[in-house]
Amino acid sequence: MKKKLLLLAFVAFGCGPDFDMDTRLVYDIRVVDSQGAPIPGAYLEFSVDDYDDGYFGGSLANGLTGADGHIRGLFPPPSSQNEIIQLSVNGSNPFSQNPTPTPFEYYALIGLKRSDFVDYRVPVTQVILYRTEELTDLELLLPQGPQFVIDEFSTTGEFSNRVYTASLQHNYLTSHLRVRKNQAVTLHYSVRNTDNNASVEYDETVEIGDEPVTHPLGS
Amino acid sequence: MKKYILFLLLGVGAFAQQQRDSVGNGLKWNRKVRLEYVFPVQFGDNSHAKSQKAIGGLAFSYDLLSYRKFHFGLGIQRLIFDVTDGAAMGALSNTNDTNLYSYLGYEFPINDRLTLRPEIGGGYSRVDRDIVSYAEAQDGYNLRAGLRAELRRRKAISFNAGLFFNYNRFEINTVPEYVDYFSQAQSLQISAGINIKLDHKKRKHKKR
Repeated sequence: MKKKLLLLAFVAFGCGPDFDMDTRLVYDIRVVDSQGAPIPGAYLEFSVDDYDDGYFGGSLANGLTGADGHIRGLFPPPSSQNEIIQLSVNGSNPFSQNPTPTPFEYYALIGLKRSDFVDYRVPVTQVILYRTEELTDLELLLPQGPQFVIDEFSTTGEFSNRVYTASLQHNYLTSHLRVRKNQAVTLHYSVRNTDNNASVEYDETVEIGDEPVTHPLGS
Repeated sequence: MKKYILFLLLGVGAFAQQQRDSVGNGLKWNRKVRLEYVFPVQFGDNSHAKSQKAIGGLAFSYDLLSYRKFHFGLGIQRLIFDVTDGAAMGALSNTNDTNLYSYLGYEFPINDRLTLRPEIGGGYSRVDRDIVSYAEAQDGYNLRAGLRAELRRRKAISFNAGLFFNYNRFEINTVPEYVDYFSQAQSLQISAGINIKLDHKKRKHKKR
């Protein structure tokens, strides 16, 4: 009974992220495989970590790609300018009762903010989904000690889940990335010592082969 | 701005309570409240008509002043919409419109019981997500014009039915090709409800 009342309260008073209703952001994204072929029926979602619990459960927009791999739409952004937005593709799809197993891995781009949207457009126009056999692991080792914080972490290269730009001290940002095999990826970040607020910037290139790679940050 | 309008509403209402019998140059305090169910039939190429489906809502209005057959009052209505097109609206399940307006009506008595009343009005509007929300709203204004019929059943109580054209203009920040789609709404509002004249008994008593 209590659960029903709670659910009723959520429905009546609204739950999830607070939207900025006088703004609409536009996305126009093509989802393709690594050969450039369109992937129809892929589930795409923009979401926020609305309870700050490490789970991007507050959906801003979602839908399926069309026959040409395209998806286009609009959504009101979260009210807070600093809210971290995640773009995910091929995640759990609420539209499908019995999802067909897909050969492609889950894609996530973490760390978009409202300031990254230029002229109300999402700064991503194409998403590449990779098959499991095309990917390997990149494990990032965070500096030892609670006084160290990774700021403004960003990546370039071909990733299946990547951080757009964010701080790694947040509980929801992963240090485990899935990357395409046989490439060089770059990592840009700074390590801040919270004891004296001293910060050191790093630009690093990491060579990825066929096997998983472990890379220590700030060493 | 919204707070000022609310204070104005409450203030004028309270003043009317105290001064209900004041009469000057034919101007009268006229305390009649109206509660209605409103169903908006949305049309046009805009998000209200194309990406949402109206559920309906409630309206409350308060006739404050009358001068001969003219009536001036304030009203508020809250309309709820189901989102039907997630691609255009994002992951919203409902939106709601609040229209806060003042109006001017003119009474044409048809017989002892039936009165027709054309009205024009306008005021502040906002669009919120879900049924109640504290998120940033989409602000705007409304303009309305229409006809109301009032059928008196008892001395203090009458029923009403109305048909109004309602036009909304809202602020929106988005790419240019979608500005018109999200910045305006137009509807034919069909309404039905009850009117209660609050000071009926006391006036009757004074006549004796």
